[in-house]
Amino acid sequence: MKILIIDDNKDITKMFSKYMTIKGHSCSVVNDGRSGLNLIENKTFDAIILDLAMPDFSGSDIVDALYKSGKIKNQNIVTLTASSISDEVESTLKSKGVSLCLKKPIDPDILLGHIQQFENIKTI
Amino acid sequence: MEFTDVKEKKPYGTSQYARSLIEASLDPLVTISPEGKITDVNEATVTVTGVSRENLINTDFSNYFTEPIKAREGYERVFKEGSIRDYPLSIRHSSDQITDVLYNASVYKDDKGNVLGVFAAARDVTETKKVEKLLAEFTDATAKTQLELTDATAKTQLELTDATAKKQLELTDATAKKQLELTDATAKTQLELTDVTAKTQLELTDATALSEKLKGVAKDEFSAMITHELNTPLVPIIGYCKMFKTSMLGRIDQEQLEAIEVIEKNAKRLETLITDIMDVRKLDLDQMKFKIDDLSLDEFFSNLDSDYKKILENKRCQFTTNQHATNLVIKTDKSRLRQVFDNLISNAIKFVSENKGKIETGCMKENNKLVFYVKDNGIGILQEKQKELFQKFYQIDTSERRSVGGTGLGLAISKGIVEKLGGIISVESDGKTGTTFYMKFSL
Repeated sequence: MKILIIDDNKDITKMFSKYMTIKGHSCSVVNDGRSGLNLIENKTFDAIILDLAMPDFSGSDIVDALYKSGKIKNQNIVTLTASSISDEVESTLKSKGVSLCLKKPIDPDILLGHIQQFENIKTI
Repeated sequence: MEFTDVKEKKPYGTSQYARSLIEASLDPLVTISPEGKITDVNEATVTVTGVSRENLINTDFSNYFTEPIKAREGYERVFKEGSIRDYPLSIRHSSDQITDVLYNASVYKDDKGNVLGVFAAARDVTETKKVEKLLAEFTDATAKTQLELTDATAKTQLELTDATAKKQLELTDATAKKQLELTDATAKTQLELTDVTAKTQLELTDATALSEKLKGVAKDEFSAMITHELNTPLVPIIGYCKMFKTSMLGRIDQEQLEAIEVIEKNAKRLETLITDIMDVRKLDLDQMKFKIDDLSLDEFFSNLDSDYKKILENKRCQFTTNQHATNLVIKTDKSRLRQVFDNLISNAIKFVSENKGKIETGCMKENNKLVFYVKDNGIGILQEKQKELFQKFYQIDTSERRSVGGTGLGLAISKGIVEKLGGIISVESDGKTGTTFYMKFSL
């Protein structure tokens, strides 16, 4: 699978990309929101791991921009956040086209398990 | 349609005219049967609860309040005293939004004087409460500023008077014209002073309001920030532990594996601690959100049973569930209730001996109460230690207890949650042969 990882924390992106690569997936990594949006708009990914809380241009900003441009429909976005998000925020994100909202810290096995669901849906 | 039915049958003597009057009220109105079931509501009640009229009617009225017990107490008072005035309660919307209200309620009777039920009208005071709080804070700040300003003004005026008197003395021989000029100047200075004072007060008032607003935001964001900052470093720690453990970064020997497992265990413990601290904070600030839904106890206990049988398989500790009350559906927040059970059961696991450990959970009906319990055959808790048990960061201080770990917040959180859900938690132990925790809820 082609996976894009967007998080301003480089330790986190490095760890996840190492994990996903060893598990046989191809990973792209960006550490800021604007570059993330740019990549999503110009390339195709099977799944996007998106950190919600980033300075300047956050994960929520990316979701909003993709929602407004209508480009969110083709994306499989999993948001991650280390702060607890309310049910309202989660349902807003999902109504805009986010597939899944998960909490940090997360066992990478569990994260990958969720991402592989997208692949299963596609093959069906 | 239900509405037409009600009109045609004219239950409880409601005429169409009376109904239209009730419907015209912007305040939530409700009639309740002597059994505590809702018999009729107006549109305003539907709006404030987020529940349709059909779904409200025939349900327990106390379900829609944040404090069902207090609601029922108020209801009982209506029967005892005939009516109540300005009884404060909070209505919970299906989306968890809370509306603070004051209730006026009285019994209503048929032609023969038989009590048919209770008629209750609520007045939304959410905004009033907010304004009252702001106003109080604001008045304090303004009063203080005014006091300081009055002091400064008085001082300046005193100095000014002194100076004027002095000048007048010096000018005793001077012309009336000069005195007039001086008086003019004094008046002018005083006028300017008043202007400046008024302006400063205005600016200060603005600043006070703004700083109050910021304080509120800061309080909300503080928790979110702390959670975020503490959880973020755990992501790579837990991630790399996983990779080492599964030999993704090369084979590791037994000693290395044990070290990694200790790191992982402690990282997870830190994660639990962060969640627990935030739960305590939410409970302290009354910000914990509860999602009240129907919960089938059969399902709840069957999940509990299969989950813990799996977990305890290797520990050679016996786990049983004993449901003395079956087919019960209650209104509660199931994940918070489960959190309480998880806390109590994990406590029990820590204090039972590995081979002879027995943990039993279950529920039973006692009069009109539902009682849950978690019972173990562990080392027990001495009578004199039981009182302090539910305090934060409290763990009974024996080396035996200290060795078992835990955050020391589990019981404080459990007590907070049980009470917010309208119940009471208690403990029973002879200090030798085990401990039983009880949670009692009204049915």
